[in-house]
Amino acid sequence: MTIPPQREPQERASATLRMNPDEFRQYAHIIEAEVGQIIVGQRDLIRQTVITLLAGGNALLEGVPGLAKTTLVRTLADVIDCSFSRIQFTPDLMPADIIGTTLISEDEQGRKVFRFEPGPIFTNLLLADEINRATPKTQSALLEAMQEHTVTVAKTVHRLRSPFFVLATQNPLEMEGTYPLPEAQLDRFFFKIIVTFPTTAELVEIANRTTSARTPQIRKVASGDIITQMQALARTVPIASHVLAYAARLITATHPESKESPAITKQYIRYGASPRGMQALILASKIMALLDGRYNVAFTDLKAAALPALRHRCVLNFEAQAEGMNPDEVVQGIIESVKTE
Amino acid sequence: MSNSYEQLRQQLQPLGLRLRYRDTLLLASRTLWSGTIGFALVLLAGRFIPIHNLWLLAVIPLILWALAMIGYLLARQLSLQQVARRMDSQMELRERLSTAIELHDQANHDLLSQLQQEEAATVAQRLHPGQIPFEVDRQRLRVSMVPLALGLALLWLPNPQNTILAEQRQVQQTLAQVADQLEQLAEQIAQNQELTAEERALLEQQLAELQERLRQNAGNREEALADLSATEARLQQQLDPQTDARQAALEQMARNLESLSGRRPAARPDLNQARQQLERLAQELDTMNEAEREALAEQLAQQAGQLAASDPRTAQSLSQAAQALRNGDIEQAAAQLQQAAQDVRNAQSQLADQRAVQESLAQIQEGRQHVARSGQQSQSGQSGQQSQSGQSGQQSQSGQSGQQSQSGQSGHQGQSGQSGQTGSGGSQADHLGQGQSGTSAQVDPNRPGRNGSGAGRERSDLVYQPYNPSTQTGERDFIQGQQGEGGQTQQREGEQALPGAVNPSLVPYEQIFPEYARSASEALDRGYIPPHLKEYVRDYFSQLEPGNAP
Repeated sequence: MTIPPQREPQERASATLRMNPDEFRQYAHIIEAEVGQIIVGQRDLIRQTVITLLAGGNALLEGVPGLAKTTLVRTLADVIDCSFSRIQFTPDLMPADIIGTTLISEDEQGRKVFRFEPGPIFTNLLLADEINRATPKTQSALLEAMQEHTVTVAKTVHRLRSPFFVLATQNPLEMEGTYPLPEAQLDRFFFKIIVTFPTTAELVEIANRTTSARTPQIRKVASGDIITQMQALARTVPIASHVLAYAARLITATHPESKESPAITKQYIRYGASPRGMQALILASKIMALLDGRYNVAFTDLKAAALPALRHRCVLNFEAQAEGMNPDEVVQGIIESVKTE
Repeated sequence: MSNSYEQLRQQLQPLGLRLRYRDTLLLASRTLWSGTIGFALVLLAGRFIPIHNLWLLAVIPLILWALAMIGYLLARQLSLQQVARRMDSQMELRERLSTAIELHDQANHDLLSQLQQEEAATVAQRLHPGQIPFEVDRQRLRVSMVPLALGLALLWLPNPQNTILAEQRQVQQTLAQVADQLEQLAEQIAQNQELTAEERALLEQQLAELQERLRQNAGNREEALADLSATEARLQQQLDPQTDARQAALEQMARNLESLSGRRPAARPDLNQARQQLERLAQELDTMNEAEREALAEQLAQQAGQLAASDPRTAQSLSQAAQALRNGDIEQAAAQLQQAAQDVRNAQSQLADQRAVQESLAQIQEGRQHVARSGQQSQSGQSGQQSQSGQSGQQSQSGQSGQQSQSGQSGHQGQSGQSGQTGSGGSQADHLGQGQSGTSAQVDPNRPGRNGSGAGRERSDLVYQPYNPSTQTGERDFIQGQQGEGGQTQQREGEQALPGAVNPSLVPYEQIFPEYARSASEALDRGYIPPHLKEYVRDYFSQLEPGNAP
C-alpha cells in the first residue's frame, strides 16, 4: 500500500499561520491577473474558478466549445506552478484510463511483480473535458478522487497530490450520445460555472491577442504549497451565527417538502441542495470575504455564492422544464424570497 | 475585555439610543391613525349624544397613543448584538459589527478573529448617531391626518349637543337646589316634636331617598321628574282625605267648648285649649247641677254628631259622655270626657303628621316644577323672567287637586307669593307654579280668592298655545301621561320627549293674549255671540289683560 507523503495536521496549521489575509488577497489577485492575461474578459469565470481552487473543490464548466475552458485550466496550472492533465472523455473511455491500472512487470531481481501505473488523475489540476460523453461507469471513477482526493485500485488507496483540482466541462448543446451526470456526481462539484459568450469588445481583444505575433507570457506567481496555505486560511474566516443561519435557511428553502420553502421551490424543484451545498456556500463565501478585504462572511457573500453553488444541486421538476425555467431563475427566486433577518 | 471591543461597545451605545428613537418615531407615524380615529370618533359621537367634557374625552385616545409610544420607547431595549446587526444592515457594513460582537462573546482569539474585531472597531469609529436618519411612514401619516382634520373641524363647528349639555347642567343645578330644599325640610321635620315617631321616620326616609336620587342624577330631567313623581305618589297615599274636614270639625268643637265656658271663641281656636276644656269639664262634672249637666250632655251630643263623619273616635267618646250624663253616671261621663281629651291629643298629632306630609308634597311639587322648567329657560332666553315669578299653569295634578278640593277648607299648604294666579276651580296646577317663598310657605288651595276667574297673569307667565305644525317650524310638543296610583292619571304639560328641545307650545302670556282678544272682538262684531252675552265676554277679556290683577 503506497500513500503519497502528505503534511500532518500540525504542519497544515503552521502553514496557515504563515499566510495572512493580505497575502491571501494579493496572491489571489495576482493569480487572477495572470490568468486574465490569457483569458480575455470572463472575470466571473476566472473568479469562480479561483474560488473553487482555493476552496479545494472541483468545478463543472458548462459552455459551448471554443470559450477557452481548456486554456483557462492550462493557464491556471501554469500560474500556480502545478502539474496539469487533460482527459478527453469519450464513450469508450474506461475508468482505468483515468485512475491507472496495475501491471505485471519484472523487478531488478527479475521477479514478476504487480506495479501500479498511475493514470492522468495523479496531477494537481485535471481537466475532464466533455465529461458527459463518458459512460456513467467511467464518470463514477472520478467520484472518490473528487471527494476524498484518493484513488483505490486493487484494494490499495492512492492519495492524490495536493492541491487537487478537477475542472470538468460539458457542452450544453450537443446532448446526443451523452450521459448526463448523476446527482451524486454533480453534488461533488463545488461550483457549476456557466461560461458565457464574450462580448464584442472581448472578441476583438481575443482576436488581437491570438492572431498577432506577440504571445502573452505568464509568470508562475504561486505554488501548490501556497495554494494549500490559502486553502487553510480560507477556512478560518469567521462567520456570525445569524449569517450561518441564513445560509441554512437558503439550503432549506431549496427543498419543496420544507415548510419554510418559498412558493417557487414548491412549484419547480423536485430535489433540493444537500449539506454539501451548504458547505460549498459557506466556504465560497469565506473566500469571497477575504478577496473583498474583509475578515468575516456577509450576507452578500452568501448571495453571490449561492448561484454557482446551488444551480447544479437543485433538480428541477417536469413543470419547470415544461415552462422553460432554468435552475438559475429558480435559485435566484429563492435568494430573493429568503430574508436575511 | 479587549480594547477593540470596548471601543466598539462605546460606539454602539449612542447608536442604540438613536435606533430606539428612530423605531419609536416610525411606529408613531404608523400608528397615529389609531389615536386620531379615536379622537374623531369621540367628537363624532358627541354630535349625536350629549357627552360631558367632550374635549377631554376626545383627547384620551391621543393621550393613550402617546403613552403607548412612550412605553414602547422605554421598553424597547436593544442589545449590543441587535444594535450591531441593525447598524450592519443600515450602513451596509457587511456584518462586520455583529460578527465582532459574537466573536468577542465566543472568546475567539485566532488571527482572523482579532483582525476582524479590530476592523469592526475601526469601522465603528466612523459611525455617529447623525448617520441614522429618522424615518416616518408618510403614507400612514397622511392617512392619520384625515381623521385629525375631521375632528378639528367637528370641534370648530357648533355642536347642537352643547345646548342639551347646558340644559343638563342646569337641570343638575336645579336638582341640587331641590335636594338642598328637601334636606332643609327633612331637618325641620326631624325637629318637629308634634309628629309621631313613625311618621317622622317614614318622612325622613322618603325625603332622604329622594335627595340621594336627585343628587346622583346626572342631569336627566325625565328621570328626576319620575323620581319626584314616585315620591309624590307615595306621599299622596299617606294623605288622609278627611284631614281638613277633621280639623275643621275639631276647631268647631273647640269654638263651641270655648263658648260653653263663656269666653269669646277665636277665629282659629287652639285644639290644646279644647282638650284642656274637656279635661276641665270632666273635673267639674261633680260641681254641676242637673240642668247644667243636661245642657252639657246636649252640647256634647251635638258635637259628637258634627264629628261623627270626620273623627268617629272622638265623636264616640263625646257621645258616650253625653249618654252617661243623661244616665246620671258622673264617673262614666268624666272618664269619657278624659277619653275625648286624649282623642283630641291623638288627633292633634295625626293632623301634624298630615301637615308635614302636605308640606313635603308641596316642596316636592315645587321642586318638580322647577326641574320641569330648568333647561328650557336657557334655550328660550327667558330665564331672567321666569326665575322669579315661576311658570304657572304648566302642570296639573288632577289627583292632588281632587283630594284637596273635597274639604273646601283651608289647610296649611299655601303660598306666600303675591304673583298673579290663575285659579281654575281647584286645580292644583294654578298654585304650584307661583313662586313659593321657601320652606315656611304653605299652600291653601281652597282659600277664598285663590280660585279666581283666571284674570291677572304676570307678564312672565307662559301659557299653552296649541301647536300648529303647518305654520311653524320647530320640535313637536309632547304631553306625557303617567298612570299614577289608584288609576289616577297625572299629566305633565310642558315636558318634551327630546331633552333640550324647544317647546313651541309654551309662549308668553302677553304674546298670546292679543290674538285671543282679537278673535273675541271679531266674534263679537260678526254676531256669533248673543247680544245679551256680549258684555260678559268683553268684561272677561278686560279682566284677562296682562297686568290686570284681581
